[in-house]
Amino acid sequence: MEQGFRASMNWLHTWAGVVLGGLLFAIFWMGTLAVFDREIDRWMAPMIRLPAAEKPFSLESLRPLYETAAAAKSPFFSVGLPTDRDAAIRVLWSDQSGQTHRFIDPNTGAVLPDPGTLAGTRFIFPFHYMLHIRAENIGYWLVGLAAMAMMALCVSGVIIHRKIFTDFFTFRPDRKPRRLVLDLHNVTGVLGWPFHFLITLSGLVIFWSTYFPSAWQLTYNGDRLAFFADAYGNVVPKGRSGESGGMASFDAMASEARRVWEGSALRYVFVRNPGDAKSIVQIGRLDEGIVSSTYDAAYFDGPTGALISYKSGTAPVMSVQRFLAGFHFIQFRHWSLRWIYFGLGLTGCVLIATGYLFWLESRRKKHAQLGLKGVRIVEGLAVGSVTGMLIATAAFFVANRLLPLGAEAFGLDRAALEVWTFYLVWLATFAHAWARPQRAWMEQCWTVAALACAAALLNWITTGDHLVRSLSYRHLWPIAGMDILLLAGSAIAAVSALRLSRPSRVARVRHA
Amino acid sequence: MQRILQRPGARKAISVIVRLIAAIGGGYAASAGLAALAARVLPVAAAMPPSEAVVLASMLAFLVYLGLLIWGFAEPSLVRLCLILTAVGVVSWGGAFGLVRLASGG
Repeated sequence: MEQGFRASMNWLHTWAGVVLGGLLFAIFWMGTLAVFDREIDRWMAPMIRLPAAEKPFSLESLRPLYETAAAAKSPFFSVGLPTDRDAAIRVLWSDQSGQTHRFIDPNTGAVLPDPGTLAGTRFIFPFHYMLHIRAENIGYWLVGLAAMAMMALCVSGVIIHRKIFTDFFTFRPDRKPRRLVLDLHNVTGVLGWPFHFLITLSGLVIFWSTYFPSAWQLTYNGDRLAFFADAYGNVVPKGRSGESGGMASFDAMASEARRVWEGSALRYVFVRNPGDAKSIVQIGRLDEGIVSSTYDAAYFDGPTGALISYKSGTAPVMSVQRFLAGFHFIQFRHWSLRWIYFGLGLTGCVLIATGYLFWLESRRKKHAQLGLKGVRIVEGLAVGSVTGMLIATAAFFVANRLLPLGAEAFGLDRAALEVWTFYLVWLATFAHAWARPQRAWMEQCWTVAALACAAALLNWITTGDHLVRSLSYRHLWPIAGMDILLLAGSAIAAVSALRLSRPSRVARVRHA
Repeated sequence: MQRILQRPGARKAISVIVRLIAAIGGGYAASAGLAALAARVLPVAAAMPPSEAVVLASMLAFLVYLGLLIWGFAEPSLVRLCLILTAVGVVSWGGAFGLVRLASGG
């Protein structure tokens, strides 16, 4: 290895960054967007841009859907109740053909038309933690590896840094590009350090039982349910009886759940074994006012509606784990903090992108002299994973506004077409970056600017919710926020493209 | 084959590959073993419920792994790195399995 501690940390920082930077950028970018996943849902599924319900919603109006799920022998029937961020009710069950998702209008109880999109909560959010690679949990493990690398990068970055305090106040945008990207890398890295480290650690801690299964497997002899029963103190019969059974009043069970939690709002209703004589209704508590993401739930016997058990809180260590999970999930109700998370997430994206740029700028000349190909390969990787990821995301939004409801092509439904647009566009950005190395950054910045602006305009054209309108209705503020961010992103991308196309810069890159 | 191995570039590449395997794979195996051992020891030593010991040990394992990763890339002697990681792995996994066997009375 390299001589000396600092030199070896420099080696680790450089190579962990170059090899895993693309993956890290994707995870940070998607995580940053997932801060507003419900708002993105509203933007991408115009039918759920609903005002908050005026009167309490009767769960009984979901009974026809419940009967459908019971008839389809679905193993579960799940109802996500409205929150401050999302007025629509989300219903989910499964049958042989797969899962069925339905949005319900809380004002009328009407089933809304299928929006045909995975949107924020079902595409962007899962991409953030498992990359949509389900086979053998490979997606989870890749994200876990990148997260461990991120923590190692955080630590090694501090060690190789010579003057942390000075660089805290140093930003020299007028200097050479290499100096500028290093300043930007240092400023975002130092200022964002506590957040970047903690958000990465808490993300890993959420999946502790996947990443470090050794302790629970050895202690509980591989029985995950035995561990959960021990940790959460709930023993709930899982099996079906095979005999059909009725279902007591959902509303009565919900009001009983509210009573045991002294009026707390509810987050979900989850029925295990719908239509069976041994069906169990689990009702979860809404933790809007606390950071922790608790497992508080009340359990009812389905046919009789009798309360079996309920719980509040967990043992101390598990409460720490739930606090860290809640710190990461930000399901609490706090708009200022939500925006701060979003901003700090963006600093993580800038940190990773400028790390790449610094690697490239400091090697460009030397590699050209020696005739090495490294810079060209890494530059393609960097362009595709940074601006390419932004283009793919914007293309996902544009496709969402262009595809008509119920669209089908190549045997794919509308939601799949959106996802394929994302991946194919992303792939194309890598091809473009390797094919036109000199102009890739600039051209991709222009593409981001055009697509982001088009997405905001298409939202206006296809839904009529232009900024003046969306800003004047409280329930359309998420739409206004998304449009404003799209337009601001478009402007930033255009300014970057203009600066990149200045003759001096292009000439210098060409020369190299 | 021998001539390729004698080239300085090849030797450096091999030592980097061995270090990557030792730090990433060996570091993981050692931290997972320490977590398993701690989950068996804490209920006895600190009178914690088993489920709490499991969660505490597993959460700390991320920080232990991070420390081992940093040390894995900083340790000048590759031989010492491999020896210590192997020793920690054998002792922790052996201890954890030994305690399981002891508890089941076998």
